Amino acid sequence: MTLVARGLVTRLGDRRVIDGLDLDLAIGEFVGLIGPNGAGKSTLLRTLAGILPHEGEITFCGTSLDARSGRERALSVGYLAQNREIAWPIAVRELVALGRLPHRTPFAGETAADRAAVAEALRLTGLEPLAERRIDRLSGGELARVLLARVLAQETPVLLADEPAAGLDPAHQVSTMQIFSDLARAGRGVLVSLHDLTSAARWCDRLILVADGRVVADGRPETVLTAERLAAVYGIEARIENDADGFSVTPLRLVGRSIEGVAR
Amino acid sequence: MTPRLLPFPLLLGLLGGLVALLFVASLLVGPSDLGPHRAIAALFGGDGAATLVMREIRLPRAILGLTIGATLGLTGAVLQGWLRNPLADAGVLGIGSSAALGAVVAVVCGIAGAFPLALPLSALIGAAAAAFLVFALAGSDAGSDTLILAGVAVSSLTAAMTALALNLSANPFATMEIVFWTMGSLGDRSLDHVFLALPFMVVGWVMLAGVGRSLDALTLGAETAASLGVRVGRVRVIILFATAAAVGAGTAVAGVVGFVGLVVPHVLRPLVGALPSRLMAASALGGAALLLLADLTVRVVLPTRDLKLGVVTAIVGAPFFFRLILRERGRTIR
Repeated sequence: MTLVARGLVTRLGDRRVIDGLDLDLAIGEFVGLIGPNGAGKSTLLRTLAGILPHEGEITFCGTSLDARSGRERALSVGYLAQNREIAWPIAVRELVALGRLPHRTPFAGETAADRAAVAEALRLTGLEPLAERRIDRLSGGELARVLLARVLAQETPVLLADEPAAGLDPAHQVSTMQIFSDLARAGRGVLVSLHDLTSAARWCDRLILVADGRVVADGRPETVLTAERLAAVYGIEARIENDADGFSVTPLRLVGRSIEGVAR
Repeated sequence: MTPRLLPFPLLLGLLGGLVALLFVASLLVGPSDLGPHRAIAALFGGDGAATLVMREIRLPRAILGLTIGATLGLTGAVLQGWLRNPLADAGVLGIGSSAALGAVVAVVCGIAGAFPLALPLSALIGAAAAAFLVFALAGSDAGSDTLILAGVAVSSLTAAMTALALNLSANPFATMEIVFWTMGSLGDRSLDHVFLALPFMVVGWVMLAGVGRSLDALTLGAETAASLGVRVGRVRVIILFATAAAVGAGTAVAGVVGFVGLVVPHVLRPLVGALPSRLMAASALGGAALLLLADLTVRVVLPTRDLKLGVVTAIVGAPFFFRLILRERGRTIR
C-alpha cells in the first residue's frame, strides 16, 4: 500500500514549481516534508491531493489516481489546507461532517458510519465539548483542531497536511504531531509539510527535503539534516544536537547570500 | 449547534404553510369583487366571467409570484454560498440588467408589439447573452472575484446601453413603458407568460438542486472542496447558466424585482444555520412568501394607482441594509 509519484511536474503560470519529482509514501509511515519558502512544498501537497493539474504519474496501490473521479480520489487521499478561512459561521460538528462528503450518496442523509466517523474525529482531537459551538467563537488553536478533525473524518488511508502546526502554541503543536504519529502507527500514510526542523526530526520517521521543486534529500532525519545541507538549501548555519530527548536543530545565522537583499 | 429557534423540518413546514396561505390569498384579492367561495369555485370552471378572471388574471399572477419569488430566493442563497459573500444575488452576475436591456431593445425597435411574447422573449435572450458574456470574460477557471468583476462590467455596460436607448428614444410612450418595466410587476400577466417562463425556471431549479453539497464543501475554500472531490469548474458553469435561465425567465415576464435574493437568505441564515445546502430550500420558500406578500401589498395598499412590485421590494429591502450597517458597526473595533 503505497502512494507513488513519478516524474511529477506542476506549473504555476509558466514556472515549473514542481520540476520532475519522485516520491514514495508507504502506509504506516509519518513523513515530514521540509524545505525553504518557495521550494514547492505546498504545491507538491496540492498536486498529490488532485487540486492542481500536473504531468507525470501519481498512483495509489498500483492504480493511477488521475484516472479516478474526484470523489473516488477523495476516498483515498485526504488534504488539510493551510488556509483556515471558513466562509460561514457553522457549528463545529457541521464542519467536521463536511469531511464525509465523498462517502455520502447524493440527496441521502448521514449514515451510521458517517456519524461514527465524525464522533471518532471529535474524540481524537478532544473537541467533544465544543461540538455544538459555532466556529466564529473558537480560538485559532481550536479552529486548527476542528479542521484537523474534518480531514480525519474523511477516513482516508493517505493524509496530506500543509503546515498543520503553523501558528499553534507549543501544547497544540505537540498534540497535533502526536495525532499524526498515532495515525501513522494505526496504519495511515501521513505526509506533512513543516518549517520547525526540530519538531520534524523528532516526530517523523523520514524527512523529504525539497528545493526548487526537486527532492534534495530523502531519508532518516539525522541523515537528511546535516550542517552542509542546511547551509546549501536554507543558507543557514545551525547547531545540530542529538541527545537523550532526540534530535534538535537550532538555526544560528545566515551563511552566504541565500536570501536576496539580506547581507550576511 | 448554532442556536436555532425551530428544528429544520418544522421551519420548512411553517414556511411552506405560509407560502400556501399567501398563494390562496393572492387568488382571492383583486378588483373584481368575487367572494372566496365563488372565486375558488370559478377557478375550477363553469362561472363565465368569474372563471375568466380567475384563470386568465389571478392564477397566472399567483403562479408567477410563487415561482419567481422561489427563483430569486433560491438563486440568492446559491450565489451567496458560491461566492462566499453575503451581499451577492443574481444582480452581481448582470442577469437582471441584461434582461432589461433585451426588453428595452424590443420596445425601442418596435418589435414588442409585433406579437404578445416578443418583449419577454427578447429579455430572455438578453439574460442568456449576459451569462455567456460573463463566462467568456471571466474565463473557465475564474475565481469569485474575477466573476464578480465580469458581472459588474456586464451590468455597467448594459445599464449604459439602456440609458442610451432612453436618452435617444423619440417616443415618450416607449420611454414610459421601459421605465415601468424596470420597476417590475406581476399585473396583467397571462398563462402564456407562465408557459414561457416556467420551463426555464424549472430547468434552473433542477440544475441548482444538485449543487448544495458542493456549496457546503466550498465553505472550506475552493482547494479543500476540490480535495473532497468537488469539480469546482463544473459547479461554476452549472450555477452561472442555471441562474441565467431561472432569473432571466423570471425577469423577462415580471421585469426587474430587486432585493428578494439578497434579503431572504440573510434573514433565514440565523434560523436555518449557515450551511448553504440547508439554506437553499428555506430560502426558496422564503422568497416565494416575500414576493407573494409584496404582490398582495401592491394590490391592497394602492389598488387604483398601479404601484409597482419592484418598488415595494426595494422599499422593504433597503432598510435591511441600514440594519446590516448598524450591526457591522457594532462589530468594528473603535
